[in-house]
Amino acid sequence: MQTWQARWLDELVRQVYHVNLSQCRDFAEFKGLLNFMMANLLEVSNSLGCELTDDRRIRRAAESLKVKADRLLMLCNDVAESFDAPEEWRAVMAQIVVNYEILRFEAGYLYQLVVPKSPFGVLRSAL
Amino acid sequence: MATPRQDQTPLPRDRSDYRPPRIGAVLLKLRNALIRAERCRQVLNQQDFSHQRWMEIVTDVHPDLRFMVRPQILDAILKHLESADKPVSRAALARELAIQKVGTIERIRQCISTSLRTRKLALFPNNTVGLPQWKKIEIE
Repeated sequence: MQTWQARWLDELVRQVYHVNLSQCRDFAEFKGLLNFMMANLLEVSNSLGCELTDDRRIRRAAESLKVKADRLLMLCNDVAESFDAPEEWRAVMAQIVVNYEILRFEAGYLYQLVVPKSPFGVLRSAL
Repeated sequence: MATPRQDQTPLPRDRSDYRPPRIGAVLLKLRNALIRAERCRQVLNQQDFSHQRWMEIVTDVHPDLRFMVRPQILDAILKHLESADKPVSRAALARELAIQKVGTIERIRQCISTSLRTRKLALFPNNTVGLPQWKKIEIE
């Protein structure tokens, strides 16, 4: 039987959008997708706001993921609010993509810690 | 000619109201299907379904789906630990299984690390690995 933590993460898996910023061809597309990425980051951050478990490894992984989501959310907020150099959007996008990939990796790691029977890190693939 | 990666597909032309998909529900179904396939493989294995017969199935399966049914490196690791009946050094375990051609030494090392992370294996003193149930006995 699944633990409530696993069901909690599965609910997060269902909620998030599958965003791939590297598909973007221009600044408008980039800004459009950025909103969905920010929605994902907010969802991840809010989901991990409570104490998931007493297990130290899971708690550490959840805290690390939450910190990364919050930091990336701040970066995305700065970009969305004040970015006025559309000609440089590719460099900014590259920076965000790298950070998002790290976050996805950690999300998959957390998922496999919480759902050890899972053959892959489902949350990573969903994000 | 190399085929382009699926995730490099550009966004739809009409991008004004493009909404990225939510694929979580499908991924959870895939996870459950993989778990079921793995359970079936283990049950057949327990019922003396030979490795040779299993490999017949593996080669019959469509190549895109073959990863679901291929024999796992973890099987060989568990078998080795069960026969040793005590924790074994990580390096020695990887070396021994590589000699038996279970997989490349890198893949075996990777499998040991992943299995430790997901608690299918347990870490013991002096960088040795063993079965998780041995840990419980040790605590008791």
